[in-house]
Amino acid sequence: MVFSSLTFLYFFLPLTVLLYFVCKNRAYRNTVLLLASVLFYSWGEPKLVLLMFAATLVAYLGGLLIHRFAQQSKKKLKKAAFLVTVLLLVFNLFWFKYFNFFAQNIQLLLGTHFALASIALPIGISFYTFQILSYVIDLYWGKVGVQKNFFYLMLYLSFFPQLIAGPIVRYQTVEEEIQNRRESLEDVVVGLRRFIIGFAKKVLLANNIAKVAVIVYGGDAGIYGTAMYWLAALAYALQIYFDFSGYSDMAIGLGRMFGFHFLENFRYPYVATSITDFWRRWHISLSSWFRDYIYIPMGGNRVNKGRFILNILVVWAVTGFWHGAQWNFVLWGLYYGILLLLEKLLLGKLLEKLPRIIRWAYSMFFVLFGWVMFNLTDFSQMLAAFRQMFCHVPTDFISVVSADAEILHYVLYIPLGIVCMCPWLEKAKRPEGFWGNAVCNLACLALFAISMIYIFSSTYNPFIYFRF
Amino acid sequence: MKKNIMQLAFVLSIFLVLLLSMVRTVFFPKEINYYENRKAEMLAPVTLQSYLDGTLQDNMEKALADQAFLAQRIKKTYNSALSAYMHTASGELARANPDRYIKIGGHYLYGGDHLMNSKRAVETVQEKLSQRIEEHNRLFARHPEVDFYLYYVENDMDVHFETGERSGTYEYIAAKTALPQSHIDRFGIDSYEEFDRYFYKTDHHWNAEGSYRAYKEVVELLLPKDEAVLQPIEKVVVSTDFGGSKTMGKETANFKEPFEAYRFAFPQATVWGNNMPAPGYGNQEAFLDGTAALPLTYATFYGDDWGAVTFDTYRPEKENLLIISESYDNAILRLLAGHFNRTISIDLRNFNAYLGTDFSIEECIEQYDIDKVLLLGYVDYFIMDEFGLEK
Repeated sequence: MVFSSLTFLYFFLPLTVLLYFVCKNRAYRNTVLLLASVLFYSWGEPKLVLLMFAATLVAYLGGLLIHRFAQQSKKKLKKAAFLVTVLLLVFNLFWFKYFNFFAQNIQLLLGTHFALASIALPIGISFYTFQILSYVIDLYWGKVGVQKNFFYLMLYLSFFPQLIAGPIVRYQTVEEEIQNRRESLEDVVVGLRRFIIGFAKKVLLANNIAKVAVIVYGGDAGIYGTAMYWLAALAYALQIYFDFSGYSDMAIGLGRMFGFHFLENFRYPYVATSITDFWRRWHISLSSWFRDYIYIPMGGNRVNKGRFILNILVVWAVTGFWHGAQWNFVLWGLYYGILLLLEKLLLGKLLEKLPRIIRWAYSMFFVLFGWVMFNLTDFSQMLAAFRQMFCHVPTDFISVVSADAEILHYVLYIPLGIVCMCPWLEKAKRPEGFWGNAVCNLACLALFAISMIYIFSSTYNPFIYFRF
Repeated sequence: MKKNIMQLAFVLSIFLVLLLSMVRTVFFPKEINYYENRKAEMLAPVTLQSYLDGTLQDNMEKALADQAFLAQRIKKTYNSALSAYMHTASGELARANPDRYIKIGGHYLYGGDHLMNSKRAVETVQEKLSQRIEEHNRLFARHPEVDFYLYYVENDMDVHFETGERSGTYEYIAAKTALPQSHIDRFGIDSYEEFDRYFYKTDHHWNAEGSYRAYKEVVELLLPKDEAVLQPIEKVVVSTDFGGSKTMGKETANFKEPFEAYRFAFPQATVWGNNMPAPGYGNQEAFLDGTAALPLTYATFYGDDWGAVTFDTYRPEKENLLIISESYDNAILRLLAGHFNRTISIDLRNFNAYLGTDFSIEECIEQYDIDKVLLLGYVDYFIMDEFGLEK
């Protein structure tokens, strides 16, 4: 189930909200959320919900052991329990997401041809694994208390707003709120508005802008020249931003409706004035996870230069690899690692002296380039795209439109996307007074209605031959 | 207090609409989706198996798409707006470049305003085509007492007018079919001008001129050279904003054209629809006289794709004709019926649905004393499993 599906909007969400607020007791409300979350996940993965259950059980039992050994001051046993728990959870992720990737590459190296098992990738496994790892690691470090109620831990892991696409919520963010949160009409309204904004980003902007990139990259390369390849790069950049940030908005909004306060995951990344700034604004929950649980434990920047460079490259290679089991993702991660190193070691002071518009153009150039690398998993297609982008090839726009006239429709959303990627309307999201709130509510209602029109239009499925 | 009421109204207005749509979907579903021309999806019973194999999830999504409040109106509004924009945006380009295929939705614009399907090369359909031809050849061998004929309808799937490439499908069929060459013919399309003249711009069928030409060619194929054809009385513009099957896509919903038709003085015939007495076939007279209450489509004008339609003219001196076809023959059935004692047209896609049993050509030939059998259709007729005679 996804947030933009009719089943979620018409069945799941209203029923869950109704049942939740009918219950007065905290335990009952948490039970409603837990059951709803399990239903939400099993709707798309009926059998693999057991895997999520197993991961929670491993973390729960591991957490209990870590806590017990900590209380008994048995440091070696505590460390052993921690390592075993982490290894089991990481192995789970490795098996489902990365095993076939490594097996295929080893076969390529050795020249063997063993048949590989078909391993389905469970939805959201990267997100919920990192989430539960944050609990185990923070527990080991003493930053959070042990959760002795298995169902509360299961609720933390499986909570449907952030289960399948983040943000990666640290246990310490919600530790207190699981048992002691306060729902209010204000939170429901703010949460609902945030959900609607995210919904509109996904349905109106991301889904339509995406088609421009699909048309260009999927079409006959001979038709699309340099201008179209840059347009496709821009389209993909906008698509991935509105898709991902829209989903985060929906998750944060839904959490807020039930009294949870998740941290922000995106802060207008496309107004960044350096690559360093970009990564403080993009997928904040992931970059901070890698910073706190990989980079800093490796020594961070409190090591010699050589080790610092290695730390950065390792962390960014792993960051890229987290996004997908393909070499282009590793390359993308290393690309950013190198850029960040260049900014840290060479360009930092120079960039600060440049006008903001130049810094912004510099950032956007490298971000767009990076997204091409991220999007095109086939290296030959990636290289062909770079050739088209940098060796000028004229574009015959009549041929472009003839190849697919629908591009005339989808390009309309790009200027709208460019406007919406900037924080022009940030203040409007926090209205004041009665009339400010009334206007904001009306705008959200209109946005929701328009988004629903787009949702329904995508379900259009006429039968051509049969007549009544 | 005022603000709280306003905030509550905001929340409730959204959730009430969502909840009411859910209630309607579960308890008060509608049966027909008129806008999309099909039965409306409804919620199926929930079972563990359907949940585990994903069919419940698909069913629920489709049911909501059909049953939610204002769902069809929303789709129509969106499609109209999108099509109006695409019609304007692509229309200018198409008129400036009439010799180019311009992809729009699932079709192409060519000649400025003609919606086209894409050409299918014979290589892509050869396997299915060969199977069907062999099936036909087995049929011909089983019934030497009957005269078999084949009439292939060429259309925009056989020619790419921009490049001039031809599919070669008719030539392949004619070469492999075990019938005398005098029993095989085609509705030939050798140029775009010919296609534009004989086919609707917004529908995959032939227009009035095209169907009349086909009628004359089929008579020439089936009957002696001196057989006189029925002449039209007049040509009538039935509608100026007809949108056919190619306008069912959301990008092309706004494309319209005039619908012209010939008026004929058809010979008297008793009509049977799906083995039941029928008042007639199609609604040509009503539309020509401007009294038809139905929306205008090729099917409502000429006649529907019934599983079986029979015309009896009670002239035993004439032969009995069996036509196995699809919707192309709908436009010429009443014309052809005037040349035979009994004319039966079978649409294998719908035969079982209407008559509750599979069609048996052997039984039909014997029961109705069939003298001639005509196989008529375009490329899909020769490759789709639904048109297979051997079940």
